[in-house]
Amino acid sequence: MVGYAWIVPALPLAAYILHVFVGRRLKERAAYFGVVAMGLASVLGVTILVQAAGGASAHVSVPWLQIGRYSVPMGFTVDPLSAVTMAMVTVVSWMIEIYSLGYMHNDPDFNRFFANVNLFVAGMLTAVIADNFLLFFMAWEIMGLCSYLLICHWYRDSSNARAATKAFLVTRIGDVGLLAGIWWIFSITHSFQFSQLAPALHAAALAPAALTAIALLVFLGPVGKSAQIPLQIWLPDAMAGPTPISALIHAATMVAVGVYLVARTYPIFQLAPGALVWIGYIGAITAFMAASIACVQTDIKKVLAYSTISQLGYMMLGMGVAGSMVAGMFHLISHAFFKGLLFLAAGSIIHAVETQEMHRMGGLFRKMKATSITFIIGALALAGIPPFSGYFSKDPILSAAAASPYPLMFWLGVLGAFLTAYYMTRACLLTFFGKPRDQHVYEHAHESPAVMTVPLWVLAVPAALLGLFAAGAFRSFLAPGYVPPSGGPAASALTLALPLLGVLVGALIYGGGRTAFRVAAIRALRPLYVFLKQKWYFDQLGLALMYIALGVAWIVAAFDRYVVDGIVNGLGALAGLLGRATRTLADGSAQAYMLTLLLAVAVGLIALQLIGG
Amino acid sequence: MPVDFGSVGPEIVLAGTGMLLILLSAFVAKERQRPLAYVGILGILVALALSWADSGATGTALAGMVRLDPISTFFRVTFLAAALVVALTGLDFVQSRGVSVGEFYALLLLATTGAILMALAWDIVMLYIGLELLSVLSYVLAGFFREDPKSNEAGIKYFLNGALASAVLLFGLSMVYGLTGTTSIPGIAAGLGRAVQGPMAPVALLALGFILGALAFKVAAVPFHLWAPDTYEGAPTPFAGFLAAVSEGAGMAAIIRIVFTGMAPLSSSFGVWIAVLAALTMTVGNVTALWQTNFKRLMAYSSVAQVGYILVGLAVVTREGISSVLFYLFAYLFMTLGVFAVIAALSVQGQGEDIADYAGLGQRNPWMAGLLTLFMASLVGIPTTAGFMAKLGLISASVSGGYTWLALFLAVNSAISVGYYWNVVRNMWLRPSPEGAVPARRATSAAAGLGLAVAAVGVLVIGLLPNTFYVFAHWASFIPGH
Repeated sequence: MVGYAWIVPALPLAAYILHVFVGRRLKERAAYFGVVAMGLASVLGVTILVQAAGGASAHVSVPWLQIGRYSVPMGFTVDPLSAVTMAMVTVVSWMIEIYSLGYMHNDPDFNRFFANVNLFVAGMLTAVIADNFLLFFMAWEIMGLCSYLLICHWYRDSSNARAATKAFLVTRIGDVGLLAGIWWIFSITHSFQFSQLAPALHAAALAPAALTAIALLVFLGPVGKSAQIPLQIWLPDAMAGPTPISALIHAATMVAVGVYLVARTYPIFQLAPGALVWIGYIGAITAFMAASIACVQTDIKKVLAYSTISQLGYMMLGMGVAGSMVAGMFHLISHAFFKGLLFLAAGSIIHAVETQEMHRMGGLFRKMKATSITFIIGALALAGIPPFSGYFSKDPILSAAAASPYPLMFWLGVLGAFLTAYYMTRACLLTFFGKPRDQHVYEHAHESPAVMTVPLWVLAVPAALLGLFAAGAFRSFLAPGYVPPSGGPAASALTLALPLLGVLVGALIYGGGRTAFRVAAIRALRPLYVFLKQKWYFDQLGLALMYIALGVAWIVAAFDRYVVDGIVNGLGALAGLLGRATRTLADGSAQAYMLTLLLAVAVGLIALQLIGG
Repeated sequence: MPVDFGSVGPEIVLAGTGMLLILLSAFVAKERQRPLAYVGILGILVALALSWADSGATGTALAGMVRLDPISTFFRVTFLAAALVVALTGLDFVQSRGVSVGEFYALLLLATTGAILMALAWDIVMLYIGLELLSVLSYVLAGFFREDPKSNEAGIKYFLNGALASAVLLFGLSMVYGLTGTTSIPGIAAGLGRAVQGPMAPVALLALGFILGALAFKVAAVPFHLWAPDTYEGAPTPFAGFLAAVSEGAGMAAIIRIVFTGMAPLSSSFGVWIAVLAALTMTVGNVTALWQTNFKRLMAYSSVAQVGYILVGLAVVTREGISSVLFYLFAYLFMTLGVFAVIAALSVQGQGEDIADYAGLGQRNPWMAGLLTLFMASLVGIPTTAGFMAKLGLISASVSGGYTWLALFLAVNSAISVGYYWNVVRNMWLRPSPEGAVPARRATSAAAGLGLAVAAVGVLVIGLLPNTFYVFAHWASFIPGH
């Protein structure tokens, strides 16, 4: 089976093509293309994972392009890393497509939505099994395009269109770095094959600074795609898309593909320890910063968006400090399940109450039992409370950080974990418990149909149990023989205790209607509150940088307009003038044609005699 | 030496089917000749199957007049594939004009036979017979619509200029014979090898000049291209496609046979001249195309420009260069025939052949407009299409062959070509339909649909999975004597 892994991305691609050509005629029934295709892909993906766990692997590569001395093969590879990720992506995407049947019901652009989702999944799966940078980058760009198209799915609202543009442009900054890194590597190794790069770079005996620069250029791609500091600003805005998209693309899969790229090219990063320190710091700062901002968000999707940024930061931290990609990858997998679950549950709430403001919710537990219970399971996993999966995936990262020579990384991480537990407790209490704050909203609330709640339950199982049952197996599967660094008992105790403390603090502040206390607290901590509300002023910083860039761009544009365009327009005008002259050559007179022929032969003969011999 | 007819089986089938069609069309009324076209298509398919089965063969046949080797097999398959697409997509067009379908297909098959014989030739007499077979039938085909003055003009102009070019070629060939005393191509190569050492070396160069000039006429290289716009514009549209894909390819095949193989001892002389010809051809072709208003005339200049690109690969005189030329010719056949097929299909529906008539086609007929956009993208050389991979091969070959300036010329010319190719695309999608535009008719006949599908799939498959075709072209690019 592993040799047929290419079928997995081909299935959603086929669904996409069917959508494009016959989707409109079938109306909403067309969605079953995707649901069936992803169902088959999930079965195949899980089968491949089981076989890979049994020791099977595959690497299929065919010659694709031959230019002179260079040959560029194309192929796919099934190893523990891609098998695990592929199984996760297929299952999560399948659940989200089923859920979308209910969520997007009656949407005027239902068909376009499903077409784009299927194209996205095809791109994502291609990136996961790609055995070379070129195919990976193409798939990466397809994902970027689909992300853009799906964020502005409701493009008639101009703020959605703006959010999509922002997401596209900000991630593009990272893509430029990644592309530069890919070409730099290619210029040294003459290869795009992942498996050949690190040995070839090692053999090239580059200066450590050059290796670090290469690794950091490649890492710039994940910084954009996985919303790390300072390019994290696009992800919260991307919540403008339909909630299943937030779950699929902006939580479970696409944003994680940056982390996946680091895992895939981990041997390159291991050659550049300096780059790994950068990755660790960027991850730790991102994790802490995003968690702190999430504490003051009132929009339920924004809370989850910032928590996604924060968790991606933990994954990067794991890449930076653990000495193996396994810690970050396990958090990626467990995060995909519990964050996908949280977003879908949030979508179910939004579907029911038609608002995203937590301050207008409250008391929904009584009306939406399934949604509430599954959301709370996801929240416990995210908060890192044992025995839920988040604890088991976060603990190795934090203990590796504690064992590393960079204590700041550990403290940022563990404080972030405290804040995570706090803001998730806050979100749960504001949404599901207490008195309904908006009676009108409360009265209209209802549990979502089974097509939406069943995927919630399906995702709740791994969110709850994956860590308890699979953590050890995962490590020995992905990195046999790897001994995780231990941060000592104190670090373990802190990793366990701080989230519990976070839950406690959250419960004290948000349990039982202490509104007066909260208002007083906000007033007392006003500067901090504003600082967090303004998201650490990162948007403003980005804007300021953009103005600087615009200034530079103006100068460049002036050069471009007057010098480069001048040359180009001049060439164009010259071409036009030339064309006008040569056109009159063919004026229709056959005698003139024949004369020209003979003259040309004569000129050629004379020239040959003079120079050619 | 026994005469081995088996090795020219495909040509015998092709010519036999052509002659059968002439006979049949004398007995079938013009209105009922559509089945005759199917007979012709069947003949092409059989020839294609035979040449595929015979593709491993190497050696001379017919008393040393022809030689089967990878490169002639390549041209044989390419010309047959092109003829197949022309035959499929031209049927409706020819029938709609009320002429004898049987005769048209008979001439088409016989002209294709001539083109293949040029590629197979191992003797300059055979080469010349093939050339004349192709040329004379082409004059007739260009003027096939006897009632249409433009078609007449196309035929007569092509004939007058072609006759002159034939004379020039014969003059050059006779000098070669005088120098070497043989008509066999390997014999010429050996004889010229001795001649260039002696006092007769300038005569060898004269012969080279005459032969290159005449073959430059055949491929419509500048300044021997002047017949092309008038002929393309007036000739029946499917035949214009045949001129671009088969006739010019046959010219390339003849250059490779007589100049690269037979005149190999002069190889230090011709590279730079072909390079000059290439630069001139692509530049004049492209800049003149900018001003065209008639789509077929535009495609004439486009094919001139494309010939300029192809000559780049010949100019470097390396195996990589030949290989990139073959790849380009194979890729080019799908894109250019695709464009002519769309023009023909739309003209059957009553649409005009001016670029202005294509305004708003995206709304009226999105399938045709989409296909035309694909073919145009490939002609420009946009990635994922065959044209991109083909240009990449030429540029790579010219850079590694030491002709970096020519590669730059090619790149600048590609940029200029966007101006007119994309003008058509913009016209289709962004301009409103003109008053009284022909309303959309989605349905085409099964034959035309199949032909268009072959062209589109060819463009995409070569663009996405180029390796098979690179291997094919590289295998074929071996030339004896190099």
